[in-house]
Amino acid sequence: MAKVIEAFIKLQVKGGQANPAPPIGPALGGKGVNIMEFCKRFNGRTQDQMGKILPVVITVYKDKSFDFIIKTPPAAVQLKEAAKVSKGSAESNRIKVGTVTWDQIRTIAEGKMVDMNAFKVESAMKMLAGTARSIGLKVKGTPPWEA
Amino acid sequence: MYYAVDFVASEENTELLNALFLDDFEAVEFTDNGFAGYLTKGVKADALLPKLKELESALDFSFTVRAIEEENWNAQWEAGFQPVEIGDFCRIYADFHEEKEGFVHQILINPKMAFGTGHHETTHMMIRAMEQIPITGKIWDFGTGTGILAILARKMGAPAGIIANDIEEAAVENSRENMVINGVNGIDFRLGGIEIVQESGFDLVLANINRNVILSSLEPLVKRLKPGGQVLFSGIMKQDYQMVADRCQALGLDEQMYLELNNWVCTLFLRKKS
Repeated sequence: MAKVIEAFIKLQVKGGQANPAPPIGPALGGKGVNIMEFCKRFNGRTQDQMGKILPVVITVYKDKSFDFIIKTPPAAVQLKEAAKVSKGSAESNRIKVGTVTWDQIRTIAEGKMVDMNAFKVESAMKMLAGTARSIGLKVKGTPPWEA
Repeated sequence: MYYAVDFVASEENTELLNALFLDDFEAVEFTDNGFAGYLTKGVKADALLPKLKELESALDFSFTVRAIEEENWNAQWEAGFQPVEIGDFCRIYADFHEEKEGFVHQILINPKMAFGTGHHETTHMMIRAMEQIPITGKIWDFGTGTGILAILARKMGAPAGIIANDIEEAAVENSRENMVINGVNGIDFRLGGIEIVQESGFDLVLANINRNVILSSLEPLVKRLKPGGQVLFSGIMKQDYQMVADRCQALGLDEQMYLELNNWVCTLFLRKKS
């Protein structure tokens, strides 16, 4: 018989560094899940992505067991990686800290389509370009649909 | 004390705000109407307020800062966990469980947010391996958690003077409590990483941690083993085993035992005598 789902918990945690501090502690502990078990399993699965920000969706079942899916890093993380910068700009309107190309945006969009609220890759690319600008990255060139 | 910033925002603005504060929060929880960003322990949200207020005038969202008192968030699970039985060798139970006969060793654990109840494969295999090897001489429990392995070692007859360390304050406090409730003594629980253990000449090191810590500590750890001494590793995933084994062999260790359970590996290495 299929297990009965009690809740979904959506977090963003650094790879290999899950610990019982908030939000993991209160979010999982409040549902009666063994926090230490989650941390051990999450850290084991993400030890090659140490320190990288990773979205994780945890399914908690009625019997207090759980499983989880680790998603691709947030768009902003991937954009910063593509631009080879470690931090976004504190004043993104004035100070640009790096550049991404439309090709890079397309690659990220294709990988993020499943997580994004977009039906077409072009829509996802427009959203990602907005995110890039908001963290102080220039988007180089002409959008492919205008070229 | 921990601090969090709770954001109420549309889905689109949640994504944007999450991107803008990506470098500021230690972790994030997404909610039905926005998200909460959590700061590192002890760090207040004051430094973020100018940025938050400036953005609030340009974007449609609201925020509140919340303080979170530290507590045992694992209490609900701990209050209802099932005893663990490892053959007839060892039973791990809490003070609310009924006593049960028929085990060589019984360990009473009230975990309080520390790792090590025997439920996880890594601890389970450590105990199975400990059943099969001599637990004697100078022993070091590296990453002790609840103190379960050091306590078991004492119950198995290891001499007093076991050193056990952990980087988590809660774990060290909990391991000391667990030692007392098990009626054993002679374990020196220390707060800190490998640097807190400067002694050498160990006969046995128990290292139930993870691949990254094992690999980064391997060289100093091997130097602290006496020739002929053994190190029992757990917390290694099956796909990482070969990497750890190769490093161990390069440092003059011989593999003595290999256990596997649900994609986790526990392995025993011996430091060659010459």
